[in-house]
Amino acid sequence: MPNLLREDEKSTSSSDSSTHQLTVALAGNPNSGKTTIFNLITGARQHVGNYPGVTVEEVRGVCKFGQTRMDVIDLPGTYSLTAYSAEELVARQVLTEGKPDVVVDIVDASNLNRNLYLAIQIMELQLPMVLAFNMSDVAASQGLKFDLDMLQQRLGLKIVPMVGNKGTGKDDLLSAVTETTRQAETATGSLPNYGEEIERELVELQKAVEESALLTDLPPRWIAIKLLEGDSDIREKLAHTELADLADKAAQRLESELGDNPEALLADRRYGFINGVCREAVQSTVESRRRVSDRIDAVVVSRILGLPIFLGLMYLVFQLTFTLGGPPMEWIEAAFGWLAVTIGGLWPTGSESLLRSLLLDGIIGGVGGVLVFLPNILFLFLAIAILEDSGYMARAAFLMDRLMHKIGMHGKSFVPMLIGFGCSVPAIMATRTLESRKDRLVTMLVVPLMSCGARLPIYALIIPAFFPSKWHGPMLWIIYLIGIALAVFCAWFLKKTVLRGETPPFVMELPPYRLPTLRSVLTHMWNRSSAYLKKAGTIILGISILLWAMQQWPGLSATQVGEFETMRTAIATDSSLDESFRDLRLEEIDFAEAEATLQSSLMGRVGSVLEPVLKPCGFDWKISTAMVGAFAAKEVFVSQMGIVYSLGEEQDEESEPLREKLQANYTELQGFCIMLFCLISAPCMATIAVTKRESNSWMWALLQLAGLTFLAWVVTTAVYQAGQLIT
Amino acid sequence: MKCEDRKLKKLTDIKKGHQVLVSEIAGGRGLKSRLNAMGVIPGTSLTVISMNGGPAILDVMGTRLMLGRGMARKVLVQQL
Repeated sequence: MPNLLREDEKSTSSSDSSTHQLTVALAGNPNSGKTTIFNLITGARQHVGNYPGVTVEEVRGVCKFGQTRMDVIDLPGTYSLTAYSAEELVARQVLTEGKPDVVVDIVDASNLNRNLYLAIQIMELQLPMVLAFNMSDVAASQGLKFDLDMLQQRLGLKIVPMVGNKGTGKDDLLSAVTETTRQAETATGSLPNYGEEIERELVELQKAVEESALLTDLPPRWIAIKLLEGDSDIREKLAHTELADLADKAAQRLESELGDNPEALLADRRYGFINGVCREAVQSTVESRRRVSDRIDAVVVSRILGLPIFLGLMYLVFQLTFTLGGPPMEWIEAAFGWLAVTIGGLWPTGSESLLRSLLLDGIIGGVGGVLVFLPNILFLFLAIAILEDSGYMARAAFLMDRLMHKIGMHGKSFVPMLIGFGCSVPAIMATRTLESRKDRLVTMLVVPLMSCGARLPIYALIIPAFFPSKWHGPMLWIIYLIGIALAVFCAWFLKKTVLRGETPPFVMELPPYRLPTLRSVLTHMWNRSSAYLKKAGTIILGISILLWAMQQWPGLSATQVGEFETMRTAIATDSSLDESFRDLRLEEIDFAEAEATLQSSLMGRVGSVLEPVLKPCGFDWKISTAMVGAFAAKEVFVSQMGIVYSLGEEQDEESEPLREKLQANYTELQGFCIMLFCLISAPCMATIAVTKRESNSWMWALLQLAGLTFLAWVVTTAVYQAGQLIT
Repeated sequence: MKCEDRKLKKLTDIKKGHQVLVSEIAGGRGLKSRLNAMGVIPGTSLTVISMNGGPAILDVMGTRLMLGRGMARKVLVQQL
């Protein structure tokens, strides 16, 4: 029955001769060059990495070929179509529910056997398919020769040789795709025979599936295979206990008969089929492959040198990020300074125009404060892109796996955590490469503890204010280490409690080292940085305006303003005071008024409400107020302290007067506690927003918010109280 | 004699440069399925590229696979 329906659909779409509309799904192994071919046929600019698992979510594009319009879906790279990882489930869902007209399976021709393993599983879904033999130039240079005619005949599929990164084979592929749809019934390939015993069980199961009248148009044989494999996803979807029981019994029979579980048996037979197909059609002459890569790996992942090389490279990354990022940061600061002066100059001096204040303090101050870190972020992402594209990241993930495994995390978690030193937003997006959802959530939740670039200005303000200069470097280092240690602890804790679960086995393909191309590195860098820029343009802009408004309203009442006025006139008219002393007194009154205004504003009120809560941490209402601002973006803390201390609005971390004020009002211990709290507490709004988006649940985002804030409170209170006992 | 031929070794006991035949994967379903998909199934031959106390690097049908030591220990092989 289901088959009939399929043919109906096909015939209607192919009888329409003016313009065709086709849905084409691109499948393939990780590192098979899938994204390159996607970009080639759709003209898109998706990032191509030399790091397995760059595409985790499906990506769509459009391509026109003659009279045909193709919607192209780029599936995550997978080795198989089981239910063990997010990528495989996504790929499978698109193939089964998205109903592509044609599947193009990108096959790395230099590694045919393993790539065909996926092809066979797609064939079992009975979808019309074309095989694209990518990197056929590499295969040829490795001495592989294919008898394409024989392969096509054996597999019953059309094969198109391609070289994706040189752009050859595009038209051949597209015309093969259109042709395949025309003869859809015959283009699903010839399927492997699983041998007498297994086939017997499959036929039985298939019959049971057909008789159970399931509301699905998936091929019954495929369902039977998946049931026999014990596939959890299919069992859940069918929710059919009788079928599951039948499958279990069949599996038991096979296991006692053939001595292995059906999943392993099926895999074995598939490879057998592939070997049979390839035996005569593929000839290998030279065995000189990957010598250079192997030689590099002998050093780079060796037990003794592996970690030192890794740490050295990481040190280099940070060094580059901060030294190269320095000068452009100054330029951006200067540009915003100039902008503030120019715009401020439109009003007469001393003007209290609301618009001026909104533009200068709200918008330029807020957004400028964030954009200043763009150079750091760009350089960090550039370095990471180079490491990824060269193939080193795959090795690094593996090296880190030994350490990460001890705290129950996955080696791949380390890449997002590294990015977290730049900005948590792209870091959380980078968790997509993790296969298990639990691992992904753990990583997402602890990433904000990696001290991000936005927290640096806070340390830069506080450290010189309270500590002697020989302590500056070590202090900063200690703060970063505390963050890392807490991240490790939290990850361990989460894995032991709410997110308990097996870490999936770490098996990873090692891509050969490649020289990164400029274009690819730049695209990669830009994709990540633009996430940060978007944050500056949207959330930060909005929050800056909101915070600014919270500081403006409600102002002092008329009587309070009047009181300050009377004090002022009293001093101005007091002839017993000499002039310089009078000015000083007047200034003091200005400060007092500004402070009173802030205290009565919404922001100040929130700060005052929080004061009793934050008192055990050693914070007064002024620090509490600034902490509220820091929730918008960490660096807001600095400008907020400037405002609280009424030193004019343009305070930055280099400002000596603010440091003096801090020194006069707080102890070293309080200074340290401020840094500690800023490091641990609620990540900025953008982080919460991106956590919500990536985890697809408010619960995890709110857990992150509440959990980290609570942790910050506990740790800071402990440190402050203990510190007070000692001193 | 026959017993000697069949003697299984852990993959971690194989020295660099040696070629072996996979006999059994003594692990959970997840590991089995993952290794199967990447071409490591009973009957495949693979060459040890690196086995130095860290992760194992293997040549499986021309590609390089990295396998954690814990996992490599679960792959039982026959030396060729």
